[in-house]
Amino acid sequence: MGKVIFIVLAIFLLLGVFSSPILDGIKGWRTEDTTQSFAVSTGAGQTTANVTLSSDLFQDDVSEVVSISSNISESPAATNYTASTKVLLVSALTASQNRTLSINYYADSESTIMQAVGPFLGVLIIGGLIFGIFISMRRR
Amino acid sequence: MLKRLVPSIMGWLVVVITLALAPTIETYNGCVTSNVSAATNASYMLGMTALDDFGGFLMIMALLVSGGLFAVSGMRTKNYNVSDMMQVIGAVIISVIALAMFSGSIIGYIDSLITAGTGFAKTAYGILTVIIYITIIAGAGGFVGWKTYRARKRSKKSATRYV
Repeated sequence: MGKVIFIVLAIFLLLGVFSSPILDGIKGWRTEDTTQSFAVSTGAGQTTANVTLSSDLFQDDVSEVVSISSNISESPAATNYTASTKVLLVSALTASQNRTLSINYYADSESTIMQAVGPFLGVLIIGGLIFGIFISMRRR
Repeated sequence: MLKRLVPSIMGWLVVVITLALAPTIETYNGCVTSNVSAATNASYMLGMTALDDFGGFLMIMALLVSGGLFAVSGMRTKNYNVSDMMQVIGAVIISVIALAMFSGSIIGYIDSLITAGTGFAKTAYGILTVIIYITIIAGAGGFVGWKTYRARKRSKKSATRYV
């Protein structure tokens, strides 16, 4: 019984402390921090624009766009991403302006092995570490 | 109770540190790929184009397994201390340095050797590239993993003797 309590306590404590740095590390391994610049013009009454990213956005998720900065006074935001065409829709632009947008985003790793194994890394590493606790307790 | 957790905490720490260094390893491995393809005698560096795509991945996995082994063996034998952990972390850092040296200089040196060499010497120098690369990958996890395994085995033997 003491063993079971220890294992549960160990997993609880270790996951609590280490799960987010491990997941952050895995994300860092699976992605490339990429910054790209785009010259974007908006017409009268137009506040959105499409830009085509050179790499796949990580997990096709708009939240993986870290920042969008403009060289004019505006606060653009990423609102939609189309995975098949790598097109990112940027909104909150000022109408009738020319500007350069600098987009910082997490791109999917170009490595083929990482694209194949990447989605399972979290389970493999954290699962492996938890399995390690069980193994080490087996013949105690 | 918490004292028994220490080796596991160390193992998890090693995993976190390895993962934090993973992008650096991938970057240097990317340099290996680009330097090999940019080398004048790339065709002599047999097997490199096939290996370098997943060399970084293998290296990181090897280091992660080492970290895991370290945690398991520490918990089992209670024979652990900070110097053991520093040894594993040292292996991670040495791997990064070795890969940086390999991508930055060694490939260039071997390229020069191949250019200067004649006949079979060219092929031999080319094979040297892949041998060094495999040594770096194997050395990353293999050395520390092997040491951990040996330490565990030794500790098991001595435990049996006392029984």
